[in-house]
Parts: sequence; C-alpha cells; structure tokens
Amino acid sequence: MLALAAVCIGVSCNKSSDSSSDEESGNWIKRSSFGGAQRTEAASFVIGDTAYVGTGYDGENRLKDFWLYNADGNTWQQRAVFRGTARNSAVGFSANGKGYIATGYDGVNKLKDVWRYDPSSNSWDQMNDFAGSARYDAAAFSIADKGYITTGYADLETGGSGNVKDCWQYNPGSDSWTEKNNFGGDKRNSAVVFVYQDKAYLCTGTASSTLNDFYAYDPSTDTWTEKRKIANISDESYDDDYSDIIRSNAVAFTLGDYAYISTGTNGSNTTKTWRYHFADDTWSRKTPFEGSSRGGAVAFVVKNRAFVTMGSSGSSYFDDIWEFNPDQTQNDDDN
Amino acid sequence: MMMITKALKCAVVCTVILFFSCDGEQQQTDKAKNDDKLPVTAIAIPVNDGWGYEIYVDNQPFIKQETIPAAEGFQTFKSREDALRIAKLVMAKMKEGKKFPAVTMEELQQAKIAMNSATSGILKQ
Repeated sequence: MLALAAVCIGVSCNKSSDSSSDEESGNWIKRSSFGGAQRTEAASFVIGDTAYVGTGYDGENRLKDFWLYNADGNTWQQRAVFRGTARNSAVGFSANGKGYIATGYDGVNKLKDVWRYDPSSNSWDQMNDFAGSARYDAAAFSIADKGYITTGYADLETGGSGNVKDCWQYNPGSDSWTEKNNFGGDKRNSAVVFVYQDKAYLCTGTASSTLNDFYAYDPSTDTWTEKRKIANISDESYDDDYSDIIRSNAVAFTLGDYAYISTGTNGSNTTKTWRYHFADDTWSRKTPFEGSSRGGAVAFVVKNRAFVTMGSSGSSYFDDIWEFNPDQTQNDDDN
Repeated sequence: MMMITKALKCAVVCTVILFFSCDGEQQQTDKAKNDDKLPVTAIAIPVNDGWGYEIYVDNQPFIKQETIPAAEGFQTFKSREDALRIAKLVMAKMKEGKKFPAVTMEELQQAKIAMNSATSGILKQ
C-alpha cells in the first residue's frame, strides 16, 4: 500500500519532466525464449495464473502448436496441438475458465471459425462460427465471462476486403454470438484493446494510415465513449509530448490502475512505451521496450506480472520474452 | 517400496548434453552473438506414474514438459527412453535454429511413442 502511494506521488511529480528521464521509468527484464517457433502474429489468452500462446507465422509456415508459459518457473510446456487450421493474426480471449482462438488468416482465406481450449482436459473443441464476417487482425477482449470481437480486416458483404468496426459478443454458455453497437471510432485493423474495471479501451491500429482516436466500451450499457485523442491535437499542454503513441500491430496490457502500450509499427517498428492513466485519461512515457523493435508481438499478464514475447521485424522473427516492471528504473544488466 | 521406486527413478535420470549454435543468423546485437554457443541439456523427469523431460538452455530451465507434447490430455511418457527420444528431437530442432522445437503428432508416431490412443488426440485429428 505504501509502495502504491509512493508510485502515485512519483507520477504526479513527473508530469512536467522531460521525456528523456521518463524513458528510464520502468524496466524490461529478459526472461526465457519462447518454447516454440520464432513467430509473429500469434494468439494468446490467460486462464487463472497461466498464459497460453500459440498459432502464428514463422516467415515460412503458419503454425498450430500451442504452449503454456509458467511465469514462476520461467518455463514453457507444449500443450495439445491447436485443432483448427494453422493461422496467424487470430484473436485469443478467455471466458468461464476456458480459452478461445477465433478468426485469423490461413495464407489464402480469412477465417471465422472458433475453437475452445479446456485446460482441465488439455483439449480443443470447435464451437459455432463467429457470426461476423471472416477476418484477421481483429481485436478481442473478455468482460464478465463474455468474449467480444471487434474491428479487423474482413471479407465484405459487398465483395472484396476491407476494414470493419462491427462488434460481437460471445456467450460461452449458449455458444452464440450477438451483435452489439459498432466500435465508436474509425474502421481499422491491428488495434490494441485493454480492459479495466469491466470496460474495454480500444485504440491504435491502421486503416489507410495510423489512427489517433480512442474509445472505451461499457458492456453494461452497450455504449462506446470517446476518450481524448492519442496525438498532440488539443490546445492544452497535457498532450504536447504525444508524438509517438499512435501505431499499429502493437501490444497493450493492464497492470494495476494503468495500461501500457508498447512495440508496434508506425512507418517503422517502434520500442516506445506509453502508460495510460485511467483516472485522468492521460498518457505518460515509460522506458522503451529493451528488446529488438518489432510488430506482431503478444503481451499477457499473469500474477500481476506483464510479459511481451515474439513478433517480427522485416525477415527477423523473435521468440524472446521480456517482463516489464513499471516500478523499477531502467537497467541494462538484466537484458 | 514406493519410496524405493521413486528414488531409483531419480537416480537413473539420464542427462544428455549437447553443445551447439542456437542459430545466430538472425541475431543482430553483440549480446545475442555471445549466446551462439549455449549449452543445451535435457533430462528425463519422473512424473506421476511415468516420465516427462526438462530442457535447459545455458543451465536455465527452458521447457518443462510433464505430459506428452502435442497430444491431448495429460498422458506421461511410459518410459524414460521415450521421454528422452522426444527431448533429443526437440534439441535437434533447436540446433537447426529456424525449425521450431514444437513436436507434432506425426513425429510422436514416427518415434513409436507409446500412448493410449483414446486420449492421444490421433483419433480426433
């Protein structure tokens, strides 16, 4: 509790500090390499205190191996092979103690199948198809044991392909999909979404260019509420430093009362890391990701510890895993 | 008697050590180049009534496989030899670098790993 208070004070004092000192706030610590292939565009979900990662693309093949990460032991364990088609850019979410991998791209077709992983039997079952159009690079989240899929690059009803912003809720009990109100901002793919206090926050991503709008979704009212733009748009000073938040194919995660965005692409790959303050709808810089810059990574939080792993940069594919500790000062010795 | 069996299993855990390059071709930083010749070790571990394996990279635990990889359910290897055969396969894949160390159902069949077919996942594939 004391530590938390100290952090809060530190943040308020930092508000006017220059960006270079802010970029030593937080520390990235290299952990194990991924047990499977070096890969990008994998899907992951967390059930209880265990993270699961699988599928993806290694530069030659789409993958269907599936792994468990044990944060305490820093070890990987291969689990039952994903039984759907090998794919990349699928989404993962968990609900009711089970994990789901849905949508994605098999190299030829956009996909709309949905697969459920049961950790108690280490097995996969196919569920009813996603009710929206087939797509990849969608965003998914879960709130109150329901799953949601929105945005992405989809097959269009009018023919062809394009970005979408429809939003669908999955009910694991009835294995059914219900359409909800469209995402409030622009159509897009490769966005990030993070959840805090039963609301989902969606931003970044790309349409014809990277986007700076930002919306929060409240499932209890089925409403999208606009938050402040994530670029230096206003006449006020709070966003003067918001020069490099926008991006696509980034990762995001929630830790405590903050969310973090890291890695991704805006013109080139970035390591810039930003912290979102839910309390006052503002962003501040944190230590940039200390691994190679990359897009298509995955992030997960287990036992209140945040990890970023995999991804790609050009023809390089990664399998290293990094833990981010926002309360430490940047340190090269643990890289 | 149970105790003795368990102790025996621990005593005969076989250690295989291979030194090889961990695929430096895509590594860009100096630090990564220093990782080129990391020792990779595999040991069989007793799990419940059977066997699994652990793979260490540079003496750090990397994979702790307590069930037969890729297969559905929670089957253990029926023998230490089976566990080590697959552990060696995983190490060989790591040696190849680009080829990933995931095991497939086909490889388990080729390696003649004894499994209960009802829970192996083969029937479902």
